[in-house]
Amino acid sequence: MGDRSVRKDINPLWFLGATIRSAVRYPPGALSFAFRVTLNQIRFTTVQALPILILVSVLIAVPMLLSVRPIAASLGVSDVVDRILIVLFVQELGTIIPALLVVARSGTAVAAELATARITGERDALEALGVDTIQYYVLPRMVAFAVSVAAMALFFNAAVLGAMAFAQARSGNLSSFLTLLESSVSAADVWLTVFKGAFFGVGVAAVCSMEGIEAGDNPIYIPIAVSRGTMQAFLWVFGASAVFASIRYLW
Amino acid sequence: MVTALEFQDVVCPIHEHEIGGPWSFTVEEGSLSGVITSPTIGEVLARLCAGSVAPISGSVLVLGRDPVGPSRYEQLRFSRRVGVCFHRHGLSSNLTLRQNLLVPMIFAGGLGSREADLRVAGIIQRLKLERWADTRPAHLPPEVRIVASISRAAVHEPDLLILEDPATDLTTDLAEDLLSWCKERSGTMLVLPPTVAAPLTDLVDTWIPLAD
Repeated sequence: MGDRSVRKDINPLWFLGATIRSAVRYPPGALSFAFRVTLNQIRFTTVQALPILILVSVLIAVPMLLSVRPIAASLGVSDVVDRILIVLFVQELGTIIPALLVVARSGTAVAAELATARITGERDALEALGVDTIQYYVLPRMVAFAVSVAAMALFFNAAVLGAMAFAQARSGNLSSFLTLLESSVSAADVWLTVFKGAFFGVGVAAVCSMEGIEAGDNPIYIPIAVSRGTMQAFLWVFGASAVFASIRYLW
Repeated sequence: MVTALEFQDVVCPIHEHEIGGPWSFTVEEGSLSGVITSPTIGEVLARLCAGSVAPISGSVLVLGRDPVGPSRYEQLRFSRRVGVCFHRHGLSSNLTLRQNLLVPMIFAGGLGSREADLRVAGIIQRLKLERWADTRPAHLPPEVRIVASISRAAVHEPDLLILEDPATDLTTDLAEDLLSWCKERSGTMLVLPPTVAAPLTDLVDTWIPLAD
């Protein structure tokens, strides 16, 4: 009994294996229930976050354009810098920033919710009835986060590229910018953005859920679960991004 | 008589610095047995039966086997044969009462949504919970929360139903009706109340002394 109050160190590999096994054994009868939970989570994570996502994309794009483009113009390398900015946003920041937004907004909420479920006895009660809490709590969130980060990455890129196009249109260079955009971004880049977004989302949901679900049976573990979940999710996003970049550019 | 539950010289930690036991008793299949004990020990006994804690020494046999499964999945599968309702209601706070009853049916009972919906509707009607069916636990009266959590433990008709203190906060009539319904759904029941009070005095077949 005593050890229930103590937070246990979790083996991420065990959690990964348990999650895969739970996914394989998902009860078919629970799919429609899980679908509703997933849709709700997507609504919280994506739809309600859209205004802040658009604001963040503009707040990032505008200062960058204002500071970099005049220097590039003075050096006569506007096209090169625009191409670098497009590649930087579409291939890297376009998935990293939405993923970080999801960590801050929804990953923290998931870690806190699952840690609270542990403390209030919800999780124990479900497991005592034979409910697999990874199937019930974790898997719908993984799907929702995957869809959400992928969709938000597309929205983010559209907003940033829209802001860049607007800036170019004001200086009368819209057609050359669109040509540059066409030559810099391929359909494969869009698919890669979607894939990376989904991959980042799955990892964010997994680490935040893992920290929440294995929190100790004591309210002091709620902030610890949230803090650890957030930091691990940040590390996951940056680490996975570095791996993707290494595969793409080094191999 | 077949034994549904057997504690043999069970010693178990109660708190970090306290050890409980040794406890030895049996519950016969088909009976409604009671153990009068403190809420703390009642929770320990329920957790031992659920397999969420293991004894330091001695053995616990639930339906003829050790409730602590060799793997997480074995244990979950076994848990579906044993309904446990702890004193803390443990209802999911973001689900309505109806959804709380649905979850074990579809995630652990193997039912499809439509069949589970029908069964839950029947339970809600039988236990007169219609008024509260679409309300979340935080907004339920305390006695409705207790009825909901006990009925959730019994929804998929377990072979053994263990209820920690099922009657203290309910009126005698409500507790009698609820426990009678539980008895219809589960072959064997064990209740762990802190005191003997109506309706348990009439319903319980055997009171088990717990030597500590």
